[in-house]
Amino acid sequence: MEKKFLRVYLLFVCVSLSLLVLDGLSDMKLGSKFYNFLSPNFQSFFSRFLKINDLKEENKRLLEKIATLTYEKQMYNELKKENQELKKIIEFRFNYPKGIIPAEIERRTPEEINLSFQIGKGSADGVEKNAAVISFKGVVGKVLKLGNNTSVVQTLKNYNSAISVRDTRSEREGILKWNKKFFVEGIPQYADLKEGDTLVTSGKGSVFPKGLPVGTVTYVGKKPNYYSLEIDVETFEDLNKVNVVFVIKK
Amino acid sequence: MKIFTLILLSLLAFFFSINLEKVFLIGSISLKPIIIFLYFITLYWNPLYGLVTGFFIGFLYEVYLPVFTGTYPLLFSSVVFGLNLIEKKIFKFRYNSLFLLFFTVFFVGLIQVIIETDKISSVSGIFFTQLIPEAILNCLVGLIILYFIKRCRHQ
Repeated sequence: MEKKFLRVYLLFVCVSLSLLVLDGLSDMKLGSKFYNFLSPNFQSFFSRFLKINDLKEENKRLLEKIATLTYEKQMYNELKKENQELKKIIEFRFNYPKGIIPAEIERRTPEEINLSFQIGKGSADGVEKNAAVISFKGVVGKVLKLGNNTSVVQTLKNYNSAISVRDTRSEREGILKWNKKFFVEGIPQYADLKEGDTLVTSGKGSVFPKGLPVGTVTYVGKKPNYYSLEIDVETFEDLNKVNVVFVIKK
Repeated sequence: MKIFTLILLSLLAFFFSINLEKVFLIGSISLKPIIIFLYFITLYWNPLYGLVTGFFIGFLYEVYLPVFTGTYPLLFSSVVFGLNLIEKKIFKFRYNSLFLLFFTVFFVGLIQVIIETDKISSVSGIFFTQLIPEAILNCLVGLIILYFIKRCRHQ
């Protein structure tokens, strides 16, 4: 075994030394020649492994880039949305010569029963108590409590809310109230009211100016032995989703 | 079966050495899977297998390295030859036998530096920053392998 080992070792030493001598004599490294002799596919197979670290680095860089671009895209979309909203606000302001104060909703009560908002504008911005609050689509409510920089808006979705409305087609007037759904009281059964009619503020009372859009009639019914029609209404603005409101200056 | 296992292990050691050397790189020190492989094959399996695989791995190894052809086959087979000479003079199943691995890695590292570095004067500079830490790191890996070998032996 020892002799065999020694013989093999000596053989390997001779081969290695011969290779070294040959390598010294030849212009090109024998290793390189052997490497070039290998098929291109074989080389690319090895180089794939050799480049694994570079690929990892590149992958990391690309992931970081994707994260940055995704963030920038989100920012861009947000800014685009904000820009569109601001455009709408500017256009909307021209409709109210008396002036309106745009305000963002900062908080809202979680319950639907007596929905109210806190807006980021107060007396310092010119907001007054009982001022009408509207949105792009229609009436939202009125200012209930007034702070220096914030105010609380009582929305139409409130048991205490009651506003005078007028049907634009029949010119009949009634009181819009809320009890888990919007309904109108005070319009006699002989009045010509139909589903799909538009309701606007009548201007009676000191809060809401005349002609502000409120909603549409969704149901008209008659109850025997009752004076008033049974009228259900759907407001133009979804009060649970509204984000920007306007306080009308008095 | 033995030959097949040997070839498989040799190729694994070679691929580890070529591809994952950068992965295991800590500063300027790295693992030397080929040396660890040759050390354990020679001392704990068959010295002749160690010699043959050392020669062929050396030849494959320098296909990728810009050194004179024949250097690594000569180096690796000489390392195996040296290990075989010392084998009988040590208690290879004791942990202190790993000093031999330490000196082997150190020696191979030194030769590699001489082969691959143009200026010999830089060798002294990397003595404590590369060669010794590298030998210690490889000894730690050797320690783990030896622990498993000892466990298998007891069972």
